[in-house]
Amino acid sequence: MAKKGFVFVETIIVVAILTIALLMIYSSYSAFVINSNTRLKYDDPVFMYRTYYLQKLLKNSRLDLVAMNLNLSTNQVLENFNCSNSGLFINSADDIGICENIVSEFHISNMYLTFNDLSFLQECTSSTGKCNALNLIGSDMASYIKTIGGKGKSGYRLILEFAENSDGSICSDVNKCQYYYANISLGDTL
Amino acid sequence: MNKKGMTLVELIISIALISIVLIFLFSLLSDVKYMNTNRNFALSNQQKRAIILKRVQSDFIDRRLSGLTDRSSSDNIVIDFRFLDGTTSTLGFYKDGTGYYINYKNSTQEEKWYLSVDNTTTKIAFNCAKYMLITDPTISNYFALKFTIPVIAKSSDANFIDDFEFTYVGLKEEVNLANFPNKSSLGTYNINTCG
Repeated sequence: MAKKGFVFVETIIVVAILTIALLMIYSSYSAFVINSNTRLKYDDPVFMYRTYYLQKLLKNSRLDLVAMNLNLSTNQVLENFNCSNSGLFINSADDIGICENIVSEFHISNMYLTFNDLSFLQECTSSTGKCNALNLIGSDMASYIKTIGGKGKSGYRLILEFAENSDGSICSDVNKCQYYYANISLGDTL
Repeated sequence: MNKKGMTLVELIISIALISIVLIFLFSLLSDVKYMNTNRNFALSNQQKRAIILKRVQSDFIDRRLSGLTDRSSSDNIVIDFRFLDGTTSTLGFYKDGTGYYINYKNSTQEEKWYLSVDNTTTKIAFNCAKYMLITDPTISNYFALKFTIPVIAKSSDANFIDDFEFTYVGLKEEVNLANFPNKSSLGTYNINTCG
């Protein structure tokens, strides 16, 4: 049988193989593009300084009372707290008001107190035990946690999640929010 | 089956299938090319932005901000910061024949950074800055300040992460509202026109 070129069936097979190959490339590049854009939202200097100043404010408060709930052995490894947490500010409603104003104007959507060493979360493959904490946070936050260093270090860490619209204004529609993350080590004593 | 070659219909179907695949391929390449171009500018600017933010914020933290003076014109943003140790620094956003640049001068050094722009750059809003007194120093132990200068390097890909934002939280005894231009109370204020 003398074949002078591809027959139709052969062409279809080649196209099918080509398509599969390109789909694989497309999916890997798409993941690369998405990851690349997501990384821009981690530890941006503006958010780092916002975190620094909030930490400066909270350092004078009773963060130790929030930290009391943290316990590796009871799987409570991440504490989501806010300015009105009982006992966080000792003296006056003014301090709570300042904190709430700053949280609002810094566009902070969630504040977490956790341990400096987050390797127990970074190595999670399921959502049981200590890894149950991953069920309490969003997937974006979980991805961010995996980028944080500090393995082997004792002490505590403050992680902030910021929610903003694309124009930088405070976000009110959770479906349109862009989330940004920053963290700061608090040391051994709170 | 006739094996002498493809018929016209088979040829058209083959071309159509290959075309569909190629459309995806070009779409992918276009995305990657755009990302690469955008990222080059973004990376270059973000490094400069990080350095500038660090310079200014370091002065805020080390010397403690006590006030600011607005010397902006319709084209430029020029802000003098005053510190508790009596020193001052000047942050300026300008445009000259070479391009947009940022200048920061404090008591020990002066540096200038040109921002990278490409042919899609439509707006660098160096004529707009706004600052916000977040807490009222008259009733609390602290006052907070957020000072924002929007930089929109690409209108089609507006990314506020390019913005220059300086924040500060200080003690109320360190600040006098009179040290802030035209402001006597809590709120958000524009320096020049923020469009």
